[in-house]
Amino acid sequence: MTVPEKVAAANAKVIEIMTRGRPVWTDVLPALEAVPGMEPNLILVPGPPIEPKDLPIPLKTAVCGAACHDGLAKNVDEAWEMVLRGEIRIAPSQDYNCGNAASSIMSASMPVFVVEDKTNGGKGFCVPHPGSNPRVLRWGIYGEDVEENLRFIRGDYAAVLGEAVRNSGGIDLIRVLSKTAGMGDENHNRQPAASMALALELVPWLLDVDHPARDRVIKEIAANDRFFLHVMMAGVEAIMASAKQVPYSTVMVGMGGNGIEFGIQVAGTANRWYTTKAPLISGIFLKPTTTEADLLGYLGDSCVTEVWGLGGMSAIAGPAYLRMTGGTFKDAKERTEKARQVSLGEHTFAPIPWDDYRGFPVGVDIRKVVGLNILPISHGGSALKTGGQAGAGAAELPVEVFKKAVFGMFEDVKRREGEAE
Amino acid sequence: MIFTKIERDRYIDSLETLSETAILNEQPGIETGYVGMATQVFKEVIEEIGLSTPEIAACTEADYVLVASAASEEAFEKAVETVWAESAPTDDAEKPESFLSSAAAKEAEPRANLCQISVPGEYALEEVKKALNAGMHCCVFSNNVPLEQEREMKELAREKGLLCMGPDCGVANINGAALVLSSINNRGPFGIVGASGTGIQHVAAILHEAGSGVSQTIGTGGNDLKEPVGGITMLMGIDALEADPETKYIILISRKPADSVLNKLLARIREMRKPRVVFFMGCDRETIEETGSVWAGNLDDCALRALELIHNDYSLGSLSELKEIAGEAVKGMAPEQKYVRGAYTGGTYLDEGMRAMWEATGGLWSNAPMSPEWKLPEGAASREHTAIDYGEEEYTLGRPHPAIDASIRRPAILKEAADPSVAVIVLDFILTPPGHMDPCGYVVPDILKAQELAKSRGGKLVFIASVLGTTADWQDIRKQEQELRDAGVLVCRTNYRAALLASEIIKLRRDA
Amino acid sequence: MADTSKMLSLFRSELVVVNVGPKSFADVLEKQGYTALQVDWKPAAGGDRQMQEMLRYLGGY
Repeated sequence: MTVPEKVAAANAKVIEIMTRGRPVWTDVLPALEAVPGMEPNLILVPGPPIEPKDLPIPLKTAVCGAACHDGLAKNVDEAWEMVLRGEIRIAPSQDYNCGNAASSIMSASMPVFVVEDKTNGGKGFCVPHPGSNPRVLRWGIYGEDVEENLRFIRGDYAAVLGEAVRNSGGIDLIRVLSKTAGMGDENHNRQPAASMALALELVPWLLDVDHPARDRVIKEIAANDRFFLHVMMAGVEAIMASAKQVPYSTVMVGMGGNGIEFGIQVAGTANRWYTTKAPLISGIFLKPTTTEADLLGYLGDSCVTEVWGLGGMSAIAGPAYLRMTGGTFKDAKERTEKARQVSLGEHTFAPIPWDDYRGFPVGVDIRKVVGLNILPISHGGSALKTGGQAGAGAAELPVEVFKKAVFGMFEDVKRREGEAE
Repeated sequence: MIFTKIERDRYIDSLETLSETAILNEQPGIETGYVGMATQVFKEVIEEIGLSTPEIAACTEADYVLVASAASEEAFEKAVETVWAESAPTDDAEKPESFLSSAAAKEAEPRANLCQISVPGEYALEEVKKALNAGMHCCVFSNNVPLEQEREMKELAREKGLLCMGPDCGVANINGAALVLSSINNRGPFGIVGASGTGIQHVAAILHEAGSGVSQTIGTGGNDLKEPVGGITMLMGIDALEADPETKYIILISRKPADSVLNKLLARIREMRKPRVVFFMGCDRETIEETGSVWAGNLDDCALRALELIHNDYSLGSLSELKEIAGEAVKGMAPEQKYVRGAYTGGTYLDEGMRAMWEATGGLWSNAPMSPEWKLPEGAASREHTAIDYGEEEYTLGRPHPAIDASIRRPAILKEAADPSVAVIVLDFILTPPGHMDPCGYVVPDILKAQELAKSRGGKLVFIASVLGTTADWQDIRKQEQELRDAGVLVCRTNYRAALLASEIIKLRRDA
Repeated sequence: MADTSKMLSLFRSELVVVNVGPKSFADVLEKQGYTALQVDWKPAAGGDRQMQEMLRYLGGY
C-alpha cells in the first residue's frame, strides 16, 4: 500500500472506532485503583505537558489543594515546594485516558467515573462534576469549604453513586445522547437534557442503595445540570484509548489547554502533543466588571467532547448556547458546517431535527484543517487568571497546532516507512 | 424466506427505527418487515410475528437489525437500500453555491464530465491530477506550467483515456459550449484540434460566418507539440475526432512543431481517414500534401480551404478592394504621417500582423519581435513602425487576459495617437462570453479623441480594426463592427486583411 | 491509437462542467445553458509550501 492508502485506511479505522464506540458508565472508583499508571504522588492536570513553575494560578491552587486533600502535604505552601522539587509529579490527564475539565485536577484518592467502550474495549476516566457552587477546585479555588466538599465526594457521594451504577449493570451514554437528540444540548457547555436523562436512569438504582447519605446524593445529582459532562468526558476518553492505537491516522484524538498552552493529539502519534499559546475564549463574562485582560488562556480538557463531535462541532444541535454567548442560529449552523468540512465521519445516533436530521460531525482530519485552512471552533468556559470562572464562549482552534501535527505525522510516517531523513 | 441485515454496534434510536419499519413494509416484495435494536423487546416482537432467526437471537442490544420475510434476497436488499436512502438526511437545502474541491463537486454531481481549471500555473498539475483521478476530462487555462509537468498531466490523461486540453488552453468548444475564452459557434461538420487558441477561434468564426460550424474544437495548449510533451493531446484529439461520427472533416492548427514531434504527427496524419486541412505555420506545402491533407498557408486560407471541402465558395474579399480603400484613406494625411502602430490583444494576431506588414514597413519594433534586433525595450515608447502584444506578461501579470479586461489595452490608443508621425493604428477585438460586453464601444470615445487630435495637427489618423467573434456571441459581431464603422474605423473581415490594408496605406505613405 | 471511448462518451453526453477558478467562467457557462459547478479554489494550506509538500506525502486532504 502507498502512504496515502495507508493513511486513508487508518483514518477509516479511527472513524469506525469513533462512530461505533459505545461508552457505558460502569463504576465509580478511586483514581489510584482505576487509572492505569496512576501513582500516589501523581496529579493529573488538564492540557498539554507543562513545567510546574509555569502552572497558572488556578491550576497551582488546584494541584496544591489536591496534595493537601490526599495528605501528601500539610498545607498548600509545603505542597508547592514538593511540586517544584518533583516530589509530587504532574502530568497531562489525556496521556492517561483521563480528562480534567477547566481547572480540575485528578489525584490518587479522588473518585473517578469509569466508562468502558463496549465496542472497542477502551476505558476512560474523569472526576465527578462538583455542582454549581462557584467555589470549587474545578475553577482553581481551594479552602476549608472546598476541602469539605471534596471529602464528601470522595466519601459518601462516591460510595452511593458507585453502588447504584454497579447495580444498574452500566449506563449506556449513546442511549442518553440518542434519547435527548433534538432537546437542544450541544453537550459540551450545555447538557441539561442529557443530565436529566442520565439522572432518570440512575434514580431507581439510587433509591435501592441503603446508605445514610443516599438522599443527599440524589439531591446533588438532581440539582446539577452539568453532571453529564464529566461522565461523557470519561466516555470520550474510553473511545480515544482505542483511536490512539492506530498508526498512520491523521484524525485528532485529543485536545486541551492548561491556561498557558493549548494542544492537540493525533491518532497516529497517540500521546504526542502539538502545542501553541493558548487562545482566549471570547463570549460573555459572568460579571460586568471582568475584562479580557483578566482572562487566562484556554483551560481544561472538557473539549475532549469536541474531539468526538460534541460542543462547537455540533453547535447547531444546541443553538441556545450561542444566543447566550453572543451568537446567532446562523452562526451555530456555520460552526457545524465548518466542522463538517474538516471531519471524516458523522454520528448516526442523534440526528438533529432542525438540521435536516443530520448527525454530529466527528473525526477532525488535521490534513483538512491545514489544507483547506478551515479552523473548527470549540466551545468552552473561560477562567480568570486569579481563579474562578470568568464566563463562557468559543475559540477558534489555532492553526499552528494543526500545522505542527501535520509535521509530526509526516515525520512519524517517514520513520515508519523507513524513509527517515 | 426470512432475510436479515445486521449492523453490529450501530445505535439507531427507536424514533428512527419505527419510521424505517414503516418504510420497509411499503417496499415491493416485502411481506412483513421489522427494524430495531436487538433488545429483548425486539426479539419478543419478531418471535411473535414469526421473523426470528438464530443470527438475531445471537445479537446483543447494541446491534441494529433489519429483518423481513421477502419474496427474494434481491427484493430484500433493494428494500433495505430504499429504507436507508429514504431515512438518510433529506438535505432539502439547495445545492451549495460552491464546493471546496473538484472531487467534492464530482461527488455531488456525478454527471460532471469536464473540469475547467484556471488556477495559478504552479498548482495546475495538482488540480489536473485530482480532476483526472475523479474521471473528468480537463480544460486547463492555467499557464506557466513547466513542460515536464505538462507531460506528466497529459500522460496521466492518456493512460485514463481522458482529454487534457491545455495547459494554456484559451479556446475549446465542447458539445457547443464555449469554454474559457472561446466564441459561441454554430455546430457543424468540422472538428478542430489546435495548439493556438486564437487560431481555432479564428477558423471556427469564419466557418460560422459562412453558414457552417464545428462539431468539437479541441485546444491542446501552445506547448503540446514541443519535444517533452510530444503532441499527446493533438494525437488524442485526432483519434477522437476520427472516431466521432458527428465530425466529417478535420482541421489541424499549430505553429511548426518540433521536428521529432512533427514526424510522429505526420505519420498519424497520413493514416487519417477523414478529409482534413492542416495549417502548421511555417511548414512547407509538400510536407503537408504528402500526407494526403489539404495544405493551408495562413488562418484565413485554412478556413477557406476547409469550406472548399463542403463546396462553399465563401470569400473574404480581394486585395484590389483593399488597395482602393487605402487610396481613399490616405487623403488628408499630413506629410510627417508615415508609420503604423499595432495594438494587439494576443500573440497569434500580433505575429500574423507583423508578418503581413513586414515587407511594406521594412520591419516592426515589438515587445515580442520577429527577431531579437527589433525588440522594443520594456516600457519604452513605440518608435517608427511598432506592434505591441498587450497579452504579454508585462501588461497582464496579476490581471486577466485583455480579452476579458479591455482596460489593459485602452491607453494604447491615445498614447500612439499623440505621436504626429503615426498614420495608421491597427486594433484587434475578441468576443467571448466572459469578455467585455461591448469591447468596441468601450474604446470608441478614445478613437474619436485621437482622430480629433490628428485633425487639430492638420492631419488624419486612420484606424483599422478586425473583430474576432460570431453573430451568436452575446456582444454580436455585427453590432461591434457597426460601432467601429460609425466612429470612422475601417473594419476588415479578418486580422490578416487588416494588416494587408495597413500595408497598402504604408506603401502609399512611403512613396508619398 | 488511443482508446477513444471516454472522449466519445463526453461528446455524446450532456456537458456538466466543474469550474476550478474564477466564478465568472462558471456563470457564463450556465448562461449558455450548461450545468457548471463552482469550486472555490484557494492555495492549499494558505500557500504554505512546506505544508503543501507534507500534505501531498500524507495523501492530500
